[in-house]
Amino acid sequence: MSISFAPHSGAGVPVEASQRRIRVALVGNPNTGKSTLFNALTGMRQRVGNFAGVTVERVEGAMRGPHGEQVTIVDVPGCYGLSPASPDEEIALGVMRGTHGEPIPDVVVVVADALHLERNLYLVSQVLELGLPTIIALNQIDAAADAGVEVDAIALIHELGAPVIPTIATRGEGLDVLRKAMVSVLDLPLPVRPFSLAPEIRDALAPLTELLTERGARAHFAEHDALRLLAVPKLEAWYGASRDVLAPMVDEARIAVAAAGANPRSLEAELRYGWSGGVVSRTVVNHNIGARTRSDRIDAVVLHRVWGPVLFVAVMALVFQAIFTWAQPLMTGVEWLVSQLGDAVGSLMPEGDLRGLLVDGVIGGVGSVLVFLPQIAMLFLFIGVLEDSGYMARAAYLMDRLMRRVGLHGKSFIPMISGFACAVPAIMATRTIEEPKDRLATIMVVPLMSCSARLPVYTLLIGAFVPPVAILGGLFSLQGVTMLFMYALGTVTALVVAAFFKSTLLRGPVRPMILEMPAYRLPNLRTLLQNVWHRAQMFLRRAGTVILSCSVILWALATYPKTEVAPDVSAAAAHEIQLEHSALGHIGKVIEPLVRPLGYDWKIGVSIAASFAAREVFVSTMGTIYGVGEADETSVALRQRLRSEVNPSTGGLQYSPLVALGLMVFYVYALMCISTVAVTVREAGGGRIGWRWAVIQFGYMLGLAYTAALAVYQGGRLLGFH
Amino acid sequence: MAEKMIIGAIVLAATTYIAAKVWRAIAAARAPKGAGCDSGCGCEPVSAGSPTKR
Repeated sequence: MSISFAPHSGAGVPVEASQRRIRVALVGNPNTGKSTLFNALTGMRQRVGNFAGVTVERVEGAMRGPHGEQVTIVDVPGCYGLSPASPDEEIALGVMRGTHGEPIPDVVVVVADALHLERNLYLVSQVLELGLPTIIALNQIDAAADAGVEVDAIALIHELGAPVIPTIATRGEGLDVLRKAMVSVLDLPLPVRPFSLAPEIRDALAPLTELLTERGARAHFAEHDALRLLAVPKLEAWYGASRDVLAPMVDEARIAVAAAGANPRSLEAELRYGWSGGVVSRTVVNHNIGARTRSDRIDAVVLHRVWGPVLFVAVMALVFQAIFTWAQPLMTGVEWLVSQLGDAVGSLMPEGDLRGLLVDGVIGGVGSVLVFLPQIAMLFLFIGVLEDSGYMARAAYLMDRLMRRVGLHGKSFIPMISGFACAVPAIMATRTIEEPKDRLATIMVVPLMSCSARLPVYTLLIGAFVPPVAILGGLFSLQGVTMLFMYALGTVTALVVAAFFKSTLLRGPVRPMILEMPAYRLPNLRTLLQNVWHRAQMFLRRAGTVILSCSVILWALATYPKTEVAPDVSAAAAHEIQLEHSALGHIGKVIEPLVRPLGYDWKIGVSIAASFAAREVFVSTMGTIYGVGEADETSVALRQRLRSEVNPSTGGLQYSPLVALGLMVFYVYALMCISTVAVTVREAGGGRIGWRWAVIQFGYMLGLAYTAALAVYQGGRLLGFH
Repeated sequence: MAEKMIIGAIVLAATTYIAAKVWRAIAAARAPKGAGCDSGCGCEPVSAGSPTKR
């Protein structure tokens, strides 16, 4: 049995290795592979992607050390330095400094990108100054080698005075050594400041350093903070009540530093980059200086002024076309399975309400949503390919000019694109935006991007009412183009609304964007499939919980109270009478006057109302409504039912392509997601301010949805459509 | 009668689940700044262990 010493228990107190607890913080520049390393070490499946800003929260995972130690690993958002400019960088610094009630980590692992070592060493130098046991994981050494860059890890150890471990996180290489180092580094001497300050600078900073120490900064943090405070006034916030005292002292220190012949605003950057440049010149050999990389050659087309945007539109068109057409055979298969299951259960159970609940409520409701699983999987497969290949950052670059025109920061584009998956993480992704007004404007428009929960609604209505007419010689179909139009409508509206907010409530300057372009790489098939499987699991879980519960409740509302129907009435008419006199029918009749101007009947009205729980519930409610009372008949796909539904008062078709188009437009704009409202409250500032922004967001989106759907339906009728 | 009781229990369970879900979502609005997704919002990571997000 191995015996060692616990970092928190004081030196000299022997602790059994298996009881030893070690807290490790994983930090590094954005897109250096921290989350990939975190996943490889902990076995978790934290989201990864080939662009900066994927991780915007701190996540903890556990692993065992080489002697059974209990190691907690904290993955933090990427940051270029320890001077926070945006909320995600504040989270990273908070973890490092043990603020907000968290313990200071026992060990820090700085994940450095071997290909861009000079820039990564800036953060390394700041972390070394924290005086914590530090390891440098020199990651992506394979990509560096491919680019002709060779790093001498041994020489780097001597330069930094800390262990340097070459790793390839995607292949799990170097991880065993890293695991061992996380424990053994505790027995090594602590790292020291990698470069020293000139005596005149140290003297100029001395009063500020002394004040910071008096105000509670640990001795080894104080001088480090004093140097940073010269350029980053936001750090004053870390000292809370000391801010008023601190501000004049920082000003005095700036004057003193200027008098010593240095520029106080750029001093830290000059010192650190001067040092890192020297380290790189002694430890890195670049065999391909000046040569155009493969990424450069691809970027010549992808980022071209004309071909870049054309390619972007073509890629998006292809994605939505593929989602619609490629998933169709699988969708038909799931549809068949669901209908077979409904028929089998219906024939096995005796007639009665319990059979109705299972067949119409559960299978009819949940099944009508489950058939969209192939589309959901396809959407996430494409999002994964775009993220993992490095194209996402290029898309943000291409959109920067457009974003600036509407007053938004180019960085807003990545949260907006993430909104195609789910608005909740997309709103959290706005933490990478430094300017609070830009961040808030982005939060306000992100839910306009069509999330995956809208996909079942679009697919149901497009499949039912838009004919599969070939366009451009069969390259595209009208159905795929309609789907693309819905996504484009949400995106364009988001830009217009952002421009409105930025010119009214959130007026502010537009700042230039600096965005790192990751190297292109072939998406990792395993990561892609894992991501798709993860999303499919979440969709199935949602179907088995929220959608199932809503379906059960809606079935009960559609079934009770029971209505006596004359025996000579046909089954279809009896079904209609029961529905109209049920609790759901009564609720629907109350809602109907509100939705009638949009061309909807009470059934659509009540389905819209129910979908405030989750958008997909619209589909399951329609599935339940059209299933109730028909358990003895062969189940018919919901799409076919909608297409052939007859209006009992006119004898004509109940739903038309015009109604379907208006309904899709309604769903493009309406914010029907409690989780999105909650995350908006929190990310917009919390408390009363957060609620105010959430109410504004919910209100404007609902108003926009109603007005646009009204305009489509009434405008269409005026033009002669029905 | 037994059938009605089973149906009543299922409907009650579903209603309780949805009410709890709505309550959790509202509570998530009060979570500290920097927190992650609330469980079940549809975006939480899958873990082999038990992740903690703040």
